[in-house]
Amino acid sequence: MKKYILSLFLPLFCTLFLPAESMQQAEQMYREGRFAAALGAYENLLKNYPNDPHLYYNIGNCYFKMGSRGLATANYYRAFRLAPRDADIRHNLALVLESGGERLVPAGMPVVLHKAFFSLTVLELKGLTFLVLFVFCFLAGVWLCRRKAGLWACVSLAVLLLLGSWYAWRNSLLKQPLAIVAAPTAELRSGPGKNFPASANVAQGHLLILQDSKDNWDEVVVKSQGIKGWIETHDLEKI
Amino acid sequence: MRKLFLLFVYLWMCLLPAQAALDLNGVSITASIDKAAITLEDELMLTVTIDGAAGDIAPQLPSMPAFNVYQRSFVQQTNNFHIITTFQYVLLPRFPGKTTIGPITLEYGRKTYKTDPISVTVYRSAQQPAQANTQAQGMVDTSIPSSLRETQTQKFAQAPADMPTLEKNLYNRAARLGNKEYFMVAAVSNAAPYINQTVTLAVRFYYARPFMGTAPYTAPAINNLFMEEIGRSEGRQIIDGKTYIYTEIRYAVSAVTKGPANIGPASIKYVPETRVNLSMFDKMFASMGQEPQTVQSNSISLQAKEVPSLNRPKSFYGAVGRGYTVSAAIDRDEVEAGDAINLTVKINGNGNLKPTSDLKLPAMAGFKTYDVVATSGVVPSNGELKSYKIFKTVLVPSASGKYTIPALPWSFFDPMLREYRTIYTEPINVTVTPSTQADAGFDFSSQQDLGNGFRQLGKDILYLKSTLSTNKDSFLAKIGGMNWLAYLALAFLILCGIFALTDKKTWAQKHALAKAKAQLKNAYHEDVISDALSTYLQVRYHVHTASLPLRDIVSELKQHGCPAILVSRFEMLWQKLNAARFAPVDIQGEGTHELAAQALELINDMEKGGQK
Repeated sequence: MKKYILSLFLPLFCTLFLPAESMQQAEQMYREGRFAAALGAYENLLKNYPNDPHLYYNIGNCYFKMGSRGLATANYYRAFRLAPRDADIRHNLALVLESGGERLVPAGMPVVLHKAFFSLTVLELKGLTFLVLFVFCFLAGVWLCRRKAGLWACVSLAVLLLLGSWYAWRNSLLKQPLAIVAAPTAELRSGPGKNFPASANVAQGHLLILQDSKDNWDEVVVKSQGIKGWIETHDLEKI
Repeated sequence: MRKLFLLFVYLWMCLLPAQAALDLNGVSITASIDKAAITLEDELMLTVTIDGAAGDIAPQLPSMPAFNVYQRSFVQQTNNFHIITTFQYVLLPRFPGKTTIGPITLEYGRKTYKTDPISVTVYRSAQQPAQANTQAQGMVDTSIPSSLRETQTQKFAQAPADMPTLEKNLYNRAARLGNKEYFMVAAVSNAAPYINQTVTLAVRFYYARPFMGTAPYTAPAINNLFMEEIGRSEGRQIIDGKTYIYTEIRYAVSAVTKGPANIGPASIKYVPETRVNLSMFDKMFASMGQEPQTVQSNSISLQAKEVPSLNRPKSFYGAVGRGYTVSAAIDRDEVEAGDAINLTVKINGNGNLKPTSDLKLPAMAGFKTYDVVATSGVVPSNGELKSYKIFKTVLVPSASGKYTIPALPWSFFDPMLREYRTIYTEPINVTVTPSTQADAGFDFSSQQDLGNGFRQLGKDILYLKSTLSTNKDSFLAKIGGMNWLAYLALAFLILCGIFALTDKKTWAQKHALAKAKAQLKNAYHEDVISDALSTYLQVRYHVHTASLPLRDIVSELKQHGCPAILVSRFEMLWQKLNAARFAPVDIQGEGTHELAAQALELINDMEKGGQK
């Protein structure tokens, strides 16, 4: 009987306590400068918690300390998408992007506005849009049936359109296929092959927008420069 | 000046005989042979050395009926006015038995110099003593099996079955042409090779008599083939009782593409020696004025075939042969992230690796790889073609850690076994340490004095998160996950729209009608009738009766689509109601109930009129 009880509670015990212990062990490795070992531990945890922004953040830290700024940026970006309000994630992402000549906040845009734009996750924004849609539908129904509350229906419609645009914009950013240059340098060529001339060298950490793919080559646009070209797939880390 | 020069020349010419006279005292001639006992199949090297004689000198060989004599070389060396001249002759025995090479004489300065006689024993093959046999094997082509020696003494016969293909082909071709003094033959080891398979081509120039001077050689022209010379040798073959010396040149050839490949004739121009016992001086000029003759070898056609496509591995780059080895090495096994490692992969083996494709490195986890740069070469070795191919590339590790360069496969086709074989390099471990080089534009050492005793020393990333994210899905996120909510809201809106479209009377209108009817049924005063009518008109036609004179109300009703007859009835009723309300004395006998009934009838007609 005891065995049955133990077998029932063991998974619960593991779920509750093992992740915390693993996190502590990984942190200890990180503090001792064993970044590769810490990275392995965090990546193991990621298999069980695939949408945890803190794990992506910690993996990014490990990669950064191991000298791979490109992979660090990719993981900070993943964390930022999951938890855009987290100040630490924003700080580290901005720092590594800045070091690679990229910017988290577009030039000319107030930081406050950028923070406001990313104050909600895409899912939260979707939920808010649903709520306003619900309110609008109710008010529009009242107006249709009773010719009342027309003004409020209009106001809710305006808010709905605003939120809808916001959500659509954020969703398009989320769906935008992004990649980071992970190799120390990548060669940007005019075609998908080494027989095409290289037009630029792109250092690691640069943000790329993926456009097309052929064999082991990806057509990309370097976001900060607006230059288009082809880069070998193994030089990239897709976000 | 000119006189001085002429005097110097005169003195030098006078001194020459004096020097020659001095030299006479030191002139000597010696003769030696390389072995004292030989067999009929062997050849004997006779070396005659003349020490101290200058000018046009030539030793006089004695009559040697037991040998065929060929001069091989003539070398004259001068060291501090001391001249040593060496003549070498090849003696081919004709009869078995004990024979003597008589004294070799030199006429020089009115004196005759002689060597001592030399005794030589010539054995038949069967009589060949063990020592002589051993020495003889070192002088002839060891690739010829012992059975050939026996057939050589016979008249022409087919080559023995156990002879290698190339030797057999050469033997048979030479045997057919054995009635000529000079001829050339060519043969290959395999006439139907695979693409890139190395085939040995041998070209032999046979001569039964010596030739004058040098004989220029022209290599065969080739088509659809790759050819490398792999060695030269000399040998002897007895054909139809006649002894031939041959010079052989071997090539390694390999087909480039599938289909026919041709080897054209090789040729040699020579001047046959017609006189014997010529001095060196005579030999130098004897060929002048004689027309050189040309001999050509036969042409050879090959039919190259493709290696089988069945079970062809991905790591096959075109090598066909045997005995290949592959190895890999790196220039250092500990690097920083971002630094380059030079990887060298070397392949050695028989056959020609030059035309094979370049090695393609697989994707290696943790490394950025580049295309390989290949170099190749051939090394002729003991009549075989050995070659090597070296691939060099650079690997750049992306991040620190311990990595392994995996075993790299390389395949070749074994033409003997007719199957593919794959060999691998050894895996190599590499330790990558974190990069110590700061990235450009990333300033960790900036020292900005921000005032108030605060100096910024640099920037770094923030520390780890010690726990997993505790942020559960917020209320909004949960709503965002409920897609059905949006559909529900839209469905509600659509229903409302349908409701509004199918019934033109709104709920408010219905409510207003019901309210008006209820008021009119229970009307006790004209004001109530007026109110009920006003409320109805306001909802039904959006006409506000309270603030408008009758004329404007009528106009508004017409504008809002009320039928003219109903408008006139309303006008009459409204006047009656006004009269009853404001001048009850003048009322024409109609009571409140009757007015209410008229108003109710008007409303009902308006409802009907509105529906039309």
